[in-house]
Amino acid sequence: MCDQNILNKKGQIGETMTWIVATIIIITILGISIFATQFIINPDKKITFSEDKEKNLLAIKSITSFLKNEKNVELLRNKDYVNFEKEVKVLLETLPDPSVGSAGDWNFELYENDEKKIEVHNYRLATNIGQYNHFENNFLFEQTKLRFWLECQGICK
Amino acid sequence: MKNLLKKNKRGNILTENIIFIVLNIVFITILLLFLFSRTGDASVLEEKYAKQIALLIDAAEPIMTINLNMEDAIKIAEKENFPAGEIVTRTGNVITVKLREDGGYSYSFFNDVEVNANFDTITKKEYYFVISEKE
Amino acid sequence: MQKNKKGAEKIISVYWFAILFIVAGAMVYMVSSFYGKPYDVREIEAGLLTNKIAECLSVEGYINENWGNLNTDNFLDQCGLDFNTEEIYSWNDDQYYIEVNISEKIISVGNTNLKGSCFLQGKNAPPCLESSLYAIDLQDNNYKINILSIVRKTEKNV
Repeated sequence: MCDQNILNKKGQIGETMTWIVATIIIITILGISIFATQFIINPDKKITFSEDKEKNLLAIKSITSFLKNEKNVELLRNKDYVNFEKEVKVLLETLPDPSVGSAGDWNFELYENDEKKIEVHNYRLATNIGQYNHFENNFLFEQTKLRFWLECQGICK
Repeated sequence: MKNLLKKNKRGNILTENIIFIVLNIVFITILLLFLFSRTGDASVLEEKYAKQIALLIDAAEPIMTINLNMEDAIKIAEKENFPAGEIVTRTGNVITVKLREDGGYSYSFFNDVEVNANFDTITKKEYYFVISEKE
Repeated sequence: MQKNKKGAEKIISVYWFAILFIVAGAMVYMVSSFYGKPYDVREIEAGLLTNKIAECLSVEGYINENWGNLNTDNFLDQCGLDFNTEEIYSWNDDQYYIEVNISEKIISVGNTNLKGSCFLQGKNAPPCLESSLYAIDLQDNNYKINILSIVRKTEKNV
């Protein structure tokens, strides 16, 4: 009889321990889920942004204006790359930067017959990991290729 | 004595277990119904489409026609017995999307253009918006 | 022995439902928290506003030849903008602010109080979008056009 009582208590203790462990696991999982909802998903999920449309329009307008300027076209025609580079640097400063919180800037390269003649790099990533070349605009002027692009850490926005 | 003991065990265990299981099922069903109703809620869709249409109009220029697939919203409006042709309305520069009689969400657009919102009666899945210059 | 089992089962049943309620409560809270929040489209809207202004000031690479005649009073009309909003939350058509700077000529339209909120941080602060645009005129003179667009509408986006 005494042995049977002891057996019964052991079974109840075993079941209680199971429930304690289960409770701890459940509360931990719930806690992680609530944390994720509040701090990871919630702040960013419902903030919408458009990746390319608004910034590309201003960039294209600016670059189009720049290349319509006869003074700049004359510099290109005469292959005066030193002065052309100065004008390009002024242009790159006016092009729209990525939003706050997203690092990046505009770069420019000029190729004549596939040979690089001008290089203006305001922002280059050390590696290709996480890189997202966005807003790339290429123009062809006779045998000269002009490449404008916005390089960002992560997604350009 | 043995027969009495057997009868007691059978009756108690079965009733309690059935009640326990039924309560669990009812509880989980109510929870799932609530969750699914919130995620496919008409108010969420009303807000989504009102803002989407307002932004589309802001990005548009005359003369343009924009087709927008609103199949999920139209289905909800049909369930609520709300006429599909009155889901999207425009008053001045404010777009209102309504999927039920006592609902609705409005959002304004800044583009000073004339907008006509029409329900596509052929496909019955889309709305099309005709953007034209203001007179 | 039977009494012990009955008592233990009843306690566990109560405990079981308590756990169910806690889990259900957490799920309801998470779903309500997520789906209860509105979509925040202010940044996109500010970007579209900037685009609209840019389209007005720079046409096919050349600055709008009437830019000298633009001012606070006629800017909205000339550029096809309407800052009226829905009559809600005591909004009084004061949810937008734009500022355009062309060669030191500044044109500002809308609720000027919003400009101060550009220094605020957090979700409630309206997004301030500063962009610039390069343009030339027919005489090949360069212009740098700075555009500031602010969209408030906090109550409908946060």
